[in-house]
Amino acid sequence: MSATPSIVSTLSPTQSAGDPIRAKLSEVDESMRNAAILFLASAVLWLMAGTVFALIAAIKMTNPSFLGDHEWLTFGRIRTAHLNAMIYGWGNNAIFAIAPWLMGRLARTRIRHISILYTAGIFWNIGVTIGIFGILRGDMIGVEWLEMPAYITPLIAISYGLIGVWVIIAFRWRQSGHVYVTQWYLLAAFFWLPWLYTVAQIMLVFEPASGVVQSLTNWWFAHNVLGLWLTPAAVGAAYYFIPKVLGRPIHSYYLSVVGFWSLALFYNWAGVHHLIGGPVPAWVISAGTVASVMMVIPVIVTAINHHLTVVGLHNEGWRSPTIRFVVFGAINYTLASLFGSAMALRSVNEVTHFTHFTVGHAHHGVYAFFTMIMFGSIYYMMPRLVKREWPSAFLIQVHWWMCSLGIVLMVFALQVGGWIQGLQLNAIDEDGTVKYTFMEVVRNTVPWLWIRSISGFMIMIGHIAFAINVFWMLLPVSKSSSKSGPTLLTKETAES
Amino acid sequence: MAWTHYIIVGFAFASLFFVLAAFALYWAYRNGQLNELEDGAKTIFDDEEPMGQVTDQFPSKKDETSSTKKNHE
Repeated sequence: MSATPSIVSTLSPTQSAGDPIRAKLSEVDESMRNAAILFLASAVLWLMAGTVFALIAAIKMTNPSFLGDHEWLTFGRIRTAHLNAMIYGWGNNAIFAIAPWLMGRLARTRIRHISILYTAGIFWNIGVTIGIFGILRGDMIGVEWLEMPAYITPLIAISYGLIGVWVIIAFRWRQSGHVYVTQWYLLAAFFWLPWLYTVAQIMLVFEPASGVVQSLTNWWFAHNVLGLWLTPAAVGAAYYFIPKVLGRPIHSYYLSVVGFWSLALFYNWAGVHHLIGGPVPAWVISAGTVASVMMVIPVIVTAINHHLTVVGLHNEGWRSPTIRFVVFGAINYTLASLFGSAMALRSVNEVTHFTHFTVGHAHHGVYAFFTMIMFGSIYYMMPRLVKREWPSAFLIQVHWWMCSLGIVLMVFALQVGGWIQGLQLNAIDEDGTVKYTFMEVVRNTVPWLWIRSISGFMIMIGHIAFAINVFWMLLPVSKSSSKSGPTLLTKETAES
Repeated sequence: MAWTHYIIVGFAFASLFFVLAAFALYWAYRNGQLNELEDGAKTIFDDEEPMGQVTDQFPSKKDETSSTKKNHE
């Protein structure tokens, strides 16, 4: 960096001597490369760790004595380690790679002072590692989605702040006149998460609220991490990649703006539907139910928009790994959200609450929607960062088929099995006694849980294929040396 | 803290959040972000990755199809 008068002016991408003000897309890619690769590599490693945790937890559901002698690997810890590894390890690292890059591309600004982003990324991953270690060790906090011990909170918060501010800087010095809908989503997400995290940390960990207020805060936080962090990041990415890869602008851009603002208004309220039937004021639950059903608006708007953008280009889409994954994710955004709205109705919730149906729904949202869109984004991003082609089309196919079929099977097994479980738990004979004992209901879920373990195994194979492809690509001397082509870049900018 | 304090703090946070969102929408309107949306949709394309060109394919299929995939629009 050249010597410049103040810190603020060095942040501006326009100050660098000799550079044209408006960056080319390939220059943005170049500027983000090292930090993005760090985040992607850590994301993939966390994905593998989370998958192993998940499989251990899944097998314990059918074989409770499996690894039962190791206290570090008991179900309560390993399941929690799985959740946190996936959300804070995989999901956040993926967003940290993709969001600043997308923001830079859309704002046409280089991401500068990359070493700060890089350092923040290292500290973030150290924080998450200590956090997961703490969970396995038995230090977890009994608040769902916030289980990592309090001693890593400062590390996590500062690293996050340093990463988030880079997205905002790229936006602040944007060189594009129009703010694209993806930028709205990303900007909102990077404002929402610190707000959620701060309120939750204060009200749940450092100065815990008591009783019902604690549960309300817990679910307000946990559901909003999904709804106001993972969802806008993935929907924003879909709004970029679908039109981008297909070379066709989004069908109705107007609708996409409506979709964003209605999500911003309704989603924040929806979390309390986790407490339907609990000792919570009835109006709070009703407000949560109404907001959950109102979510149908942004969901349908997004579904129509994505669908009409792809229509007529299905063959082109099928030939692109990015579009396969992103469209799969977008379809499942619609399905998972509509299921979620239905589950917020009291009559439906009576059946699904406390069953595997909810677990299926969680994987529908975080995996079939969010994670698949992140995979698609990475397939587009990596060749542009490292200027090399993906080494193996076969591994991409394995990844695609194992993960897409695996997650469909998993959601099917958990939701059908969970629905039956819920009906059996509620079933009452004419004389008012329960029809099934609790143990009978539990035994009846076992075949479904076996299917779930099998689907988890399929997903693991997909993840191994993905990880091999990613690290193979990162190797400096890769067999698939750089070539120009549509997946990489257009001819002008590709390496010769 | 008593629960009433949480309500007050929560309400303050919620109000701040709402005001920020309302301001963002107002800014978007004043800034002309809500005008000419159809042009806005095209800002993701440029010379390097132009409109009407598919920019992602499976690696092995690249050579045989790259020439036919351009300019379909």
